[in-house]
Amino acid sequence: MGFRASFPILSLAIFVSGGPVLAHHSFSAEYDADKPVQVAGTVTKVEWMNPHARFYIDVKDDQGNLTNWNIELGPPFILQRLGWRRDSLKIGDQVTVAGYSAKDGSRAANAKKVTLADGRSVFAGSQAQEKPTQ
Amino acid sequence: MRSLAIAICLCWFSLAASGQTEFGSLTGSVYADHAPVENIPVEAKNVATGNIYKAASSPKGEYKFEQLSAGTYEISVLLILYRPFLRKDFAIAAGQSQHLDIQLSGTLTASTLGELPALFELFSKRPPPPKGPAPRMPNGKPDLSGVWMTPPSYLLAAFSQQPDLQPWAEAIVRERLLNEARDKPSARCLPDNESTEPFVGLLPVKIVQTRALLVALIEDVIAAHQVFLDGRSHPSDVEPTWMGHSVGKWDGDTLVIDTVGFNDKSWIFVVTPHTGMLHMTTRLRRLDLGHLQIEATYDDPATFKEPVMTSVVDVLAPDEDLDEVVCENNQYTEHVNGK
Repeated sequence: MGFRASFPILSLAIFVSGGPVLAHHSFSAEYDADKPVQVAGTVTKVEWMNPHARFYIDVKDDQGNLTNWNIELGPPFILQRLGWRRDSLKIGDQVTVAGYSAKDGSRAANAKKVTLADGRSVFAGSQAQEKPTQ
Repeated sequence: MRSLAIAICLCWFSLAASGQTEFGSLTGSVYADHAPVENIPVEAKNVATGNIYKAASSPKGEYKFEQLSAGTYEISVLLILYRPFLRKDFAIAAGQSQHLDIQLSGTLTASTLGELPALFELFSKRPPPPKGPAPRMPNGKPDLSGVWMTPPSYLLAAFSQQPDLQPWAEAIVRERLLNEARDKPSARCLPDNESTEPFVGLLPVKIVQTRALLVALIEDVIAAHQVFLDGRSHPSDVEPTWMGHSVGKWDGDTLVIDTVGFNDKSWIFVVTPHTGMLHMTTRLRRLDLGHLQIEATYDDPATFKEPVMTSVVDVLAPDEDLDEVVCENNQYTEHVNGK
């Protein structure tokens, strides 16, 4: 019988930093933490589904062509506890997304920060603190 | 005969001489987010021999391998709380001292917006659990019913176990840490630790208890874990399942749950495999109205060299309830290289 508690006692902050390993999905399976990406565009679709909410944005490239990006968020069961809802982001909203690129090079990203045109953040913190445009 | 003696002698001198110089040393410090960290296990694997040497960082973050055979090594730090550190093709030269500082980075930078860090923050703002005596059933047994959540600090202790593993299991853990658990079951909408620890989780677990049955309703996967309290035994031909077959009986005010019949697909302690021979004993005790103690023992000699225990205290969350979590938009296979 053994209870091996040899692991160092670490702060909550470090535990939090272990998020993706403990998270519902394996971040590393899909996204590259060494490839940050920032895209800006118009919301075309919102999927409020588990295990990850997603939304899609049309992004204009350097040649003026529109490409559609798939942006991954956390799960609705957490976002809802933060006060966000499926209509917190609306089709037509102008957003800037900072995140990490898909490993396979597709137009997909894992969101770290989503900012509306007026500078307010969506899906970060509690909606009570930063209420998005209704 | 004389020439043979000379040859043996020369050989001995040669070995003795090389014995003084065939080793090199390696020192360095381990940092996490630029601060030195202690008790971090550092491994040096000799590529040619496969031998693995281990050292741990001191309170100042320093580690040292005093005698490494000259050769090429892989230097690694593999822990669930950090992104894997791996330096390949690191040369140790005979008679020389090498230096390698190791900078660990948490995986915070790779966390998804609105995922676990947000949940931790929410938990930190929760009100304290209600106070009062543990309630009882009409038959006098403790009533464990309620919506329960596990504080992050307990999850840390439970999930960061480093049990003594059999070699096959240790190899799998190493592989999973190196690839940052990319193939974990939940990446395919399958259960993670809920299989073996149905009462432990950051998300609410609802316990419903009757005289003959206790059920844990689990939000993170669509699952209900049944514990039969009616005196039945395990079936002799129990079908292996993710959550196994559980029967419980009271030992005073402690409910002792015996579980067998697991399949071998779950990952426990985040990245540790197990076999279908896993036998779990889980002891539930409601310490008071607001606290539920959960002590689990993992017995699987084919995986663990000795049984492993976890100990957690859940808090009652009467303001919480379960959300529906149907895993319906998994896009895993679309973005995985080579799959």
